Amino acid sequence: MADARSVIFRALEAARPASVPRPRRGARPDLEADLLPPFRAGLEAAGGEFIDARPDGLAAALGQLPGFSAAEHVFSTWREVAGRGVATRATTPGELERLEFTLIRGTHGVAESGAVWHEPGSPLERAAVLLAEHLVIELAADAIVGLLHDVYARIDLAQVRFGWFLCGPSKTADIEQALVLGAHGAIRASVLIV
Amino acid sequence: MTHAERAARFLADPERASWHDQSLWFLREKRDRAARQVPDWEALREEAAAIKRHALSRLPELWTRFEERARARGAVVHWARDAAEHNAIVASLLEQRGVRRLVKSKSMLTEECALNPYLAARGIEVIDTDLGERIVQLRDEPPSHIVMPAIHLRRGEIGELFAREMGTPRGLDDPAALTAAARRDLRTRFLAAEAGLTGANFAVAESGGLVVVTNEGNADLGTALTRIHIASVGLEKIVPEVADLPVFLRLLARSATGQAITSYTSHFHGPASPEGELHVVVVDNGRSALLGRPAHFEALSCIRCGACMNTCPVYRRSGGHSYGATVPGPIGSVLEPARSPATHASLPHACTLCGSCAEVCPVKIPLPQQLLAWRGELRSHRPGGVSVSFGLRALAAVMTNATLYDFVGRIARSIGRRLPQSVLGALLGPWTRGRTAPVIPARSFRQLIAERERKRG
Amino acid sequence: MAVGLFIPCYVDQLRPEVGLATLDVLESLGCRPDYPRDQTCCGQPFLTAGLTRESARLARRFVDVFAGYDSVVTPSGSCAATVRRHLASQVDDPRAQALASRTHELCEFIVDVLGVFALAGRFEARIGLHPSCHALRELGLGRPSERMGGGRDDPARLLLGSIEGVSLVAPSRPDECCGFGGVFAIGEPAISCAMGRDRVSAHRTAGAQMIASTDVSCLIHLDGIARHEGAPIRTLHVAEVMAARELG
Repeated sequence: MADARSVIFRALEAARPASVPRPRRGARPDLEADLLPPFRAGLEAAGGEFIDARPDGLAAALGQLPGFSAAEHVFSTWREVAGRGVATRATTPGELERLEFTLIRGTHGVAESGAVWHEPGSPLERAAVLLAEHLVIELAADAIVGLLHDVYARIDLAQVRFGWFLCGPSKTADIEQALVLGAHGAIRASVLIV
Repeated sequence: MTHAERAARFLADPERASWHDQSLWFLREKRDRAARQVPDWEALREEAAAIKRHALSRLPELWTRFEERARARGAVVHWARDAAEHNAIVASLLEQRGVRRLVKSKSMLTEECALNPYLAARGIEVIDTDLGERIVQLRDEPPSHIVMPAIHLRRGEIGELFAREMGTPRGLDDPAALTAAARRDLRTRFLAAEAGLTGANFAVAESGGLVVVTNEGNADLGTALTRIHIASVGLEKIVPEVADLPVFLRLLARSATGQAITSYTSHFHGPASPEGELHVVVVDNGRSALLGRPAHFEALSCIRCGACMNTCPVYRRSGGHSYGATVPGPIGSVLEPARSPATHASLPHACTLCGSCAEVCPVKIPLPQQLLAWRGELRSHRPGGVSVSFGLRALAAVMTNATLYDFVGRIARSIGRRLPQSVLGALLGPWTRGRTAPVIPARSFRQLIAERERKRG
Repeated sequence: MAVGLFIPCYVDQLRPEVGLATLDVLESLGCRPDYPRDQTCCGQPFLTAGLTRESARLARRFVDVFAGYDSVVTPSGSCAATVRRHLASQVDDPRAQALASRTHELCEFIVDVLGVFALAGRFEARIGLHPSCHALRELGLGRPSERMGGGRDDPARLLLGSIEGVSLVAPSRPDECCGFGGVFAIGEPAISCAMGRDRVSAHRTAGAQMIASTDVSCLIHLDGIARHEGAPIRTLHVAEVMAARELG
């Protein structure tokens, strides 16, 4: 008895259309030299907050975030900031349910859209990004590239079990197309430029 | 029922139909604004189309490579010939692991396979976590749009639904408040779930990975809080290389909702956690058959953005439910007749061939040509009915002879001019429901120019 | 140059004045097209209805009637599109593709073949120009609103816009389909009329006194709707607008 895989492959082979060669890669547009302004515009258009933490430092920038100083539950991957509350003892993702803030480091930013590439260091970190009310991403200014293509050229997915582009907080427009920031993931998202 | 019959019902509420039309047009406008921001937009479409056509000519090689790489990364790859096999595989995976609560993110493929009722019959609770999908799930109706499942509903209706199902206050219809209520409710579901099922926007052959995009974060929540991730993927979703992804991703969200990118663009290569499982269920269900149709196979390039629906003047004024199919709109009208020609024969005629869909399609599927090809092939649906079909054939026969055509034209006009308006209107049937009959001239062009030539010479 | 004039069946029978206007305009520009009496139909309504045999038969006739001309001109964007895009695939005749590429919509012919970009004379009117979907997206006569960059100006817009006194208004959704769509008009009358009403309304809101188009089928449909609604807006073919100019 033929298994499903063989049947499918036989069917695909029999139905194969005429060969089409792989196209040449397109020429990509050049963005303006200063990538921060378009990055900021893209992030803000996606409902995210842009904070330039270079002049006054990370601590000052964090202090600006409403509710951060008093927050009980903070998940942090930053050396400078210690975790608080459930984040210090959780061993399973579900325990992070009450997370107020999650602090992560982005590895690349995309100027064209305001997105940030992030590779969670653990399943717990990934869950923390999703469950926290306020997501805070540290990103180096010189880690921002122009287009998505530029990020893919720099990452090696063969080494990445899980990675994602994050852009702004979670959102939905499923009710009469009214944009609501904060669907199932973060309600607020801030990118701190260092 | 045909599309025309359902559409007439939809239009029986003109205010609502107009509101629906404006809502979808708003999405089209957002798409235009976003596309304008991309200097290489048209070149990108060209490249995306070419990558897809190339991929479609190499599916066996691509899936072989994908399977190798995915397995090397710890994923399990399953193959399903049809909807029944897909559902059985999913059910079996869940049952073997004692899963009774599943959360599911948006997957048109699982709609196509009718997975939810299949699992429900086996005592497995399925919660659709995309807000729009959750809304239609609670209303026990199908989605009306592949990206905005509840776009046919007004906030008041959703408010009433939530009051009934989630205990929100009666009369509450503010979208932010309703969304917050859904967030609270669905959070408990995510936390209680034992497995998560997602679709996949792209499967990447080179790396054996899957890419899933959402704005809500529901695909990720569903798979980050449980150890079992099942991904249902159609055969056509595969792209050859990682470097192909940005071409599609720069087109996808802009085409769908006018955003540069969605909130989450997740890349899965193997299970996301060391103790977790990733099961990829690759589904045929008619795709290989469509691949073998030269006039239609390019429709398999579809990346499910919904832009064709947003721009289609017919979809906007009739709503997704008028199509009576899993996927509505222009792309649905090409895909669904392949699956079920008898049921969906009216869909290729639910179209004026205006061509707007082809212009917005990020992968340049020649939709109008494909719809036209269906019309020539599917003879079971006769637009306007049997009498119109007969009349058209008779007319075509008359047109083969210029003298006969001239003669018949004179007689028809002569009679038409003598008939009272009411009778003429009745004869012209559906033309005059909403339109005044045209004034019928005494002489045709050929008669007038013959006269003119007589006078001149 | 031998030019053949193709007058679509519905223009011939229902709006013959459009045919006369077409002839007048061409003659005023020094072109004397021939009107072969043996013509009937390009086959479009049958093709779009899925009656492929009937359409192919008429397509073959079209080749026989017009193959001898250097150029064919027709006051119909949709018929020109049907011939250019569908003739060769329906007719197994070496002359078909060449004939198809030499068949032009009227304004396209005036601009591309006669080389006339502007018209003398005066016509006082606020006109809403309704682009025929087939002319716009199949023949590329104009820049579709969906497309980002490229393309050419609509020759109809160029010519009408050049007439002194003509003011081309800007309706919302400028290139949304009018809803005629061939047999669609009677196969899906509810949507067809809803689409047409929206177009008429958009043109009225933009201040148009008349709607002009390269396609009589769109015009008959929009006119039927306008009169049914009692809307004080006329419909004119672009040839009629051009022929209505006061010269000198």
